[in-house]
Amino acid sequence: MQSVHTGDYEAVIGLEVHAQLLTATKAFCRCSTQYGAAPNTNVCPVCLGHPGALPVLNRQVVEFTLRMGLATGCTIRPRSRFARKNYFYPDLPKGYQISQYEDPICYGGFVEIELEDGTTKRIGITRIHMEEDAGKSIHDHDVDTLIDLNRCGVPLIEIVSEPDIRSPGEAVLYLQAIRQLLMYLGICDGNMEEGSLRCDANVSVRRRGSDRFGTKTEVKNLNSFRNVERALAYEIERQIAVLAQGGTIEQETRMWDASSGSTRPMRSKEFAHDYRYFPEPDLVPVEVSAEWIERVRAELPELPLARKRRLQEQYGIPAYDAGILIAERSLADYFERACGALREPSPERYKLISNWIMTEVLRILGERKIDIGSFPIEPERLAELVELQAQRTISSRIAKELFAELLSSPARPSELVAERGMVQVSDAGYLEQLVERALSENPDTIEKYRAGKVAVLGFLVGQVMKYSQGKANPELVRTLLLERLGHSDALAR
Amino acid sequence: MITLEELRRIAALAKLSLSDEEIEHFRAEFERIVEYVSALDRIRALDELEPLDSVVSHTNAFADDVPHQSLPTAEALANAPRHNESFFKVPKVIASEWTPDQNNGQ
Amino acid sequence: MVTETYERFRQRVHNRETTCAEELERALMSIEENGHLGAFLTVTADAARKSAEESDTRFQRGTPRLLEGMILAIKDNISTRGIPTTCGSRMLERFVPVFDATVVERLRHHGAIVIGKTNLDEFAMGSSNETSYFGIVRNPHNPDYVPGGSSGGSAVAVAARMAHAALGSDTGGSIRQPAAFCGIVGFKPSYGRVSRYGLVAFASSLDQIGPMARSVRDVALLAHAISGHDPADSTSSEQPPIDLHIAPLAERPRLGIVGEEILSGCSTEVRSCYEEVCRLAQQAGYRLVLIQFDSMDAWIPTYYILATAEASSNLARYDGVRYGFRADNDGNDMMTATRTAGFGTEVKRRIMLGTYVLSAGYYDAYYRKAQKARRWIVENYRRIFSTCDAVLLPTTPTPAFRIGEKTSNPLAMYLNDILTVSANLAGIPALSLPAGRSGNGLPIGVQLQAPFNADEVLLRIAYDIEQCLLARATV
Repeated sequence: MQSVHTGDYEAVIGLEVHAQLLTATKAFCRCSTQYGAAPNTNVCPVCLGHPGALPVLNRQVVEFTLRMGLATGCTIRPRSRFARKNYFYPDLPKGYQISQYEDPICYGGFVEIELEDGTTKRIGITRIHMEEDAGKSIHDHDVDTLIDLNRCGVPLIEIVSEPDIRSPGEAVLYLQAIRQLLMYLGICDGNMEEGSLRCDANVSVRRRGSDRFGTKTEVKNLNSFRNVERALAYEIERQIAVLAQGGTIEQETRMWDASSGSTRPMRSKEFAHDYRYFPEPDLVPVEVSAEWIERVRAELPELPLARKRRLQEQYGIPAYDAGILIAERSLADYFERACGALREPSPERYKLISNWIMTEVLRILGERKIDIGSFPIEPERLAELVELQAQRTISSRIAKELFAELLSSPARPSELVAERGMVQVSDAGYLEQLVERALSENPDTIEKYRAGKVAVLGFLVGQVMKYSQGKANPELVRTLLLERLGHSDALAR
Repeated sequence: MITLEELRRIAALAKLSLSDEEIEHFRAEFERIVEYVSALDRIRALDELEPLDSVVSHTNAFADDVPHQSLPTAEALANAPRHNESFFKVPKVIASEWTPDQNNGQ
Repeated sequence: MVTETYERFRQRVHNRETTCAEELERALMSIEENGHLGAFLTVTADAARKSAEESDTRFQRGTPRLLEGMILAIKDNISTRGIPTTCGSRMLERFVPVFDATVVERLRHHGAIVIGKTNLDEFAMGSSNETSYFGIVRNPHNPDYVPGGSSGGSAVAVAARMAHAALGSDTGGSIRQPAAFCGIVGFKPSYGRVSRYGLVAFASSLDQIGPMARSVRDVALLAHAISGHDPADSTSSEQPPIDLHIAPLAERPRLGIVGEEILSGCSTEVRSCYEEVCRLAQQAGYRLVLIQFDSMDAWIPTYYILATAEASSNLARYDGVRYGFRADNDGNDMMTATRTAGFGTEVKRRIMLGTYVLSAGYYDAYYRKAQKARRWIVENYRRIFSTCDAVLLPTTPTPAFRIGEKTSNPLAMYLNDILTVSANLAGIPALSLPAGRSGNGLPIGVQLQAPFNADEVLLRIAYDIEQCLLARATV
């Protein structure tokens, strides 16, 4: 992680995260939210802001927001309402964004992050509110600016943190935690590249030990974890440098420019903020009953951090493994399904499953850019592979081959093993012949071994494995070799 | 007393361009209107009342999350002063005109 | 000219004295003859002829629908698919909506014939129909006088019998005031009873579509056809459609009447007309109760703060990007150029005022205070309606004024709405009924207001009083 030398200063950071909700339709009309559709195909009079069109709130937007609110321990406001945020922009059709202002639906929660030293820290959530997205302006394809309004009206939640974050590293951990939660809850795909998850930061610095906040700047355009970290590090250092030289920080909005690796102010005069918020007269208040809250609460999935702790406890896997497995809900689900499919469960086998997922499975997912849902080896088949391996029916080398075969075959691992004669050979008589062959083809090895060069043992095992096309049980080969070498030793004596 | 400066700020917020003459004219009217509406200040009865947003008392007017047919693109674009076969077109917006809360995912 | 009422026209069709096609030709003729009044912006003669044919077929087959053959004019701020909807503004000069307003859909479904779109004050902002980009509208009773506004074109179309009825919209009196000035019946239903989907918004929390016709029964029939819940309008009421026949009327209804605080601001002719109606009501068995409007001083200020604030936001969508007018501008700010050239002076004045009252530092002093005043007004009405079933008051302080008389003084123009805005602020139903004439032959209206959602009671009482007035006329 990038380190910032803050010296006598301490950074104070709050993040505003915008997450696109995975609803089928937009927040206030029934156009599809599908990403990547042809321009201006998911539009209607409502999201185009045609005269006379009126918004109607998508119930699922409330449902999803409640999930996030409850998952972050927020209080749910029994009655909340929408407000208009007024500003002009070509891709904002109505000239206002429907948002929430004075009374957001969720407030006063927190998210726990695990710091590198293993301790946990709570980052407060000030509020979570519902709003709609704007369209897209494309500036560089034509002499004119092109406007695509497909995204316009897609539901967002804005998650505003307390200024509890103290370093760029913590900011990344917080953003990761938020992303993970959103994905666990099934309410956002977490895709920062496509803009499903976007982040702005409020940053200030102050002397260590001070309990007053310094003047903050708002840093925008932080659209990847790496950019969050780099931009915050840059901005903190910039502010410290200004203060160290006796200067003052100007309250302003700054854009992060990833190519130059710096933040620069947006011309503040043009952006005199005056959004003239007022209650949205076209919508009625949202009333959330205690029953509604309880139902959503009851339906919440196990949350990442709780699951991590349970995986460690229940399966005896290390914290590191658990951390990787819970990164995505579906990955942890895969792990648990595989564990559940074991006929003879044991901590050793759980760990083997975890190893397979963390290495080969994740590698394939990365290579093929697919998610675990479309991974060709079902958890049940991975469990069988692990059992064959644990029972020493197949060697780990064969297991790897088998894994590769399973990727393109729907067969069960045991079938493949039988079909291809992959069963590990533990027939001592047969293996003894191979051991003799290895020794006779490498007569000098006996000398070397006797001279104390124990490493030749490994070489000989390898030779036997080769003769057996990998099927020999390496441990048995080793035992036989040791016996043979000892035997010949005795003979010589 | 409303200053000309103030009225220019309001006009800019509303994206209206008013000549000095118009601004001056507006100011005279504004002052009379604002003076008139400030009658509310003299009504003591208002002090202890809660603001009222709406006269309708129902809540939770929701729609189900089920997609309906959107407009054909040609129809969506038909009323636009300038467009091509798939986009609305506006004179180039320079990057510095970015408004602070666009949150555009690029 | 069309038949005096739709009800009467329907009887004539039944008696085979006329047909929808004939009636339509009379209407079109009347529109042509009255061209100088400026009532219509668009006439949809061809489509109307097709509808009339269908209506005649249905009458012949004995399967006429609720509004079969009713010739209907629609205010040009109500969205009509494929028919220009301009709002009387240069901004929407060439705008052709892609959808029908819910009310238009319902009227077509019930067999009404849409004959065209009527002129209005630009974006319904005005009380005289002098602010339309497409020219002023004149009062059919005297073309030197205004017809009232903003639904002036609709009022004139009905008054000059170019249509059986019309739809208007009422944000602060825009149905009732022109109805009074033109001598017809105009009804603003309770907020939420009629869907606003497709009504081009002026002030969303106050706007309401309503019918205008030449009899209370025609108005009630139309109200029934257009009212009822609409899932496309979140503020739409769950109440069933308005039904004149189910009014739960007390045996001797109590009618609230107003005293000096209101009458002293009215012309003598309006005053004596009002007092005459009070007398007639009493003779008809109504108990008169003198009521007090404590909140009266707050009406106009509250209205202008809330209405302009909402308008400033509702009119932000006219930016030259997706539809409507765009200024040719090679400079940077196409939007500003478009809005500056596309809106007329009155619209700009209200956008400025609304932007001002919402802007940082003024919100509490104006907008929030007006919201408090709105609650006060609602509570004032609640107290009043605990002592009476409906309130009777003049619709306007004076009959129609001369064209140009108030254009240079916006505040004087705004004060013309003094007796109508409170019903919008309280969301209650209100109706203007023709009640007499001034010395120079201009109509005078009286207004009835009833409790929130008591639209049926209001129509029932209006019908009673209308009958009293007709009886008086025939004596």
